[in-house]
Amino acid sequence: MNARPAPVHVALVGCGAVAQLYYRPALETLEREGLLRLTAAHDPDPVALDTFGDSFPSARRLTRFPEVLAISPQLVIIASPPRYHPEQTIAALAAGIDVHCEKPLAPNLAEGERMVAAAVEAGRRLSIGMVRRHFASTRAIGRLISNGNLGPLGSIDCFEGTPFTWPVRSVDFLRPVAGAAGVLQDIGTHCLDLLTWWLGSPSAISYEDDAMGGVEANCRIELMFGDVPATVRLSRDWARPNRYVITGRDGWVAWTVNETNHFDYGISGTGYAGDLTLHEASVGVRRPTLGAVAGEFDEAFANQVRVLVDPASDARERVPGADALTTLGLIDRCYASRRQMPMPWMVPAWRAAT
Amino acid sequence: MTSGPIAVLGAGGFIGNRVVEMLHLDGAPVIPIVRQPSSLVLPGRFDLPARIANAFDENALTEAFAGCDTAVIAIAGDPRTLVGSVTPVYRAADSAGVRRLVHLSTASVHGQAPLAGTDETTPLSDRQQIPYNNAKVRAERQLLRCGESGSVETVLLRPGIVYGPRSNWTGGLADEMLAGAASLVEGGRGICNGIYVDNVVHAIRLALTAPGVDRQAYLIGDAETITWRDLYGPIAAGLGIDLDLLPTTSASAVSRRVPMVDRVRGSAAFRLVPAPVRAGMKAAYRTHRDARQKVPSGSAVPTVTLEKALLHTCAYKLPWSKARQDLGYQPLVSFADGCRRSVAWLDFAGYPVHGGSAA
Repeated sequence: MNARPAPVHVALVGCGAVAQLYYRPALETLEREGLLRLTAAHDPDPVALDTFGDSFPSARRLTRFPEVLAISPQLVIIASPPRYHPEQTIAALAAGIDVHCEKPLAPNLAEGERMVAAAVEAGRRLSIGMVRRHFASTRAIGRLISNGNLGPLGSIDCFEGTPFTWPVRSVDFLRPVAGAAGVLQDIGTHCLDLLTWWLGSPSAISYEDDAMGGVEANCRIELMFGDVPATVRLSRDWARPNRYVITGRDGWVAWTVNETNHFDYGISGTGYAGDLTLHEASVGVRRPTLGAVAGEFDEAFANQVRVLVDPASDARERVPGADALTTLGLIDRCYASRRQMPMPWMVPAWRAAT
Repeated sequence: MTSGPIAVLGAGGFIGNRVVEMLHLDGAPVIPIVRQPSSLVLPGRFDLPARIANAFDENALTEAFAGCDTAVIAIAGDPRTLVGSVTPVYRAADSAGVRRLVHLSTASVHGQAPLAGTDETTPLSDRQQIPYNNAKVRAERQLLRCGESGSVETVLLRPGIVYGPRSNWTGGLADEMLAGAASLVEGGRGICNGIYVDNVVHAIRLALTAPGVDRQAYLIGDAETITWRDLYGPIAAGLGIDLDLLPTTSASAVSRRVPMVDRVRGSAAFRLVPAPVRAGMKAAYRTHRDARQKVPSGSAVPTVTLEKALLHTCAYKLPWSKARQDLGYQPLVSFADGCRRSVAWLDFAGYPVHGGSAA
């Protein structure tokens, strides 16, 4: 009988909102399962550090990043603001530590490439937190597309947005300074990653947003995947149904953002469509059968780390940092080719009147 | 414009954001103030020196107002926030040396269906049925009390139904229509005391500098007299929805949403409702009460809130002649143009506007 492997020693860097809301429960779950032990948490803000650290009494609370490296964890999770990702990731990799970096990998493609190169040079693993790749729904949709179940695709339409309520701590997140993250870098990272994961790199892209010297709250991207046009509309401003609709000759799928185990599926020529709930596929005595309903968001989030620390997990589920480069490149291209969104109501009335 | 920066407290909200947009695009120095960083999404589209302050925190507000000549107070929230924030905001403005506050109140201080002849001289009641109205009345009174002992001038503006980009009377109405939840009361023939958001900001801009208006309140509105049906029409048309197919309910349906109808009947607010409407509501309640006994379980019965019933049965266009006289206010955007701008925004926001980018 094989002895159970010792838990992986993990340190978490950055105790802000994503750490508190998502990594904390994920790490608690994986600790309970004996897969990892959180040995340290780091944040320069003692209040944030204590808030997070209270859930992990045995973890050391470190206010200086070099102290994290000094205790030599096996895996560092980088959940700090994106502008710190390159520096912290490269330092950890150089110290011989595997890194899991929250999205976006880097503020731009050049920094991302430096990080990926550093991982190769150090011979360490660099993975990226793209939680949506761990949803049963997005995996199933990707397979429907790649298997040709929808037939040749005709159009892709994605709308994603809702008023922004993420509990950011600094106004810098929303000001045109280093550290800002507009809706493209924020939600767009998820959306473009999914599209390129499903469909490959787009052949053309055009971009417009509503920034007027500051940080965009709305943007619109037009892409071509071969001869398939895709429209992406992102907003932090106003809620509309968050839906991705992919239409092909033989069928269509409509996915509501962050539905981990559900989407709608229409089959052309039948006049029918169904709301599909995904279960674990289970093999019964004589035929396949439905197992438990596929995991919810928290499980998908935890799975990102599980696949890094559980030897029994499927290594193919890891998302290597290099996979983020395509999206970073697209975002760079968007900003470089940026146009102003038309906003015909914007001009003050007293100016329009003159 | 004013001689120094203009603070906009509540800059993340629908009207506060538009104040920032219009004043900034006009070249005025604007300082958006919001409660938390995430509320800077819209002001953050500009490169502005934003500040963070909770409207209950006098010290934080004093810092946020530092260096500002005037301030626009566009705080939204529950009744506790609306009333409880008045004193700390005023004191902070006083400490920071702000010369004038323009406080965004509402025409609802006169009720949703004001009596004919209502104007700024009409006494206000803080015992109305709708808590929001009472909170706004108390906030106005509190602000005027603060002004008795402080040096900051105050001007109160009372807009009615503010529609336009990011208004719930525009986007929210479109949501209701698309969800099949929109309805009119009594055919929407009542008067809608509407004002396009840019006209509100225009009035704010005038109120920041007009002389001799300390401690004055002003009703403001669009030039046109419109009905609720008129307000719904362009949105429905934009979405390709036949306005005539919207359900229209009688004001009687309000009774289902009134938890203690006797309290309503006896309330001061109910007594402010025009007599014909009041009689209609009473009769309709009786009809509705009887009908409820006969409705099979599970059947949909059109219902409306008291607020909506009162709004849609309003019979009086509130005047803005005092604002014209003292502030020089004259609406800049016509109702038709305001509707065009609103529908353009719906298209921008991703609604399926006919002929639009998302259709």
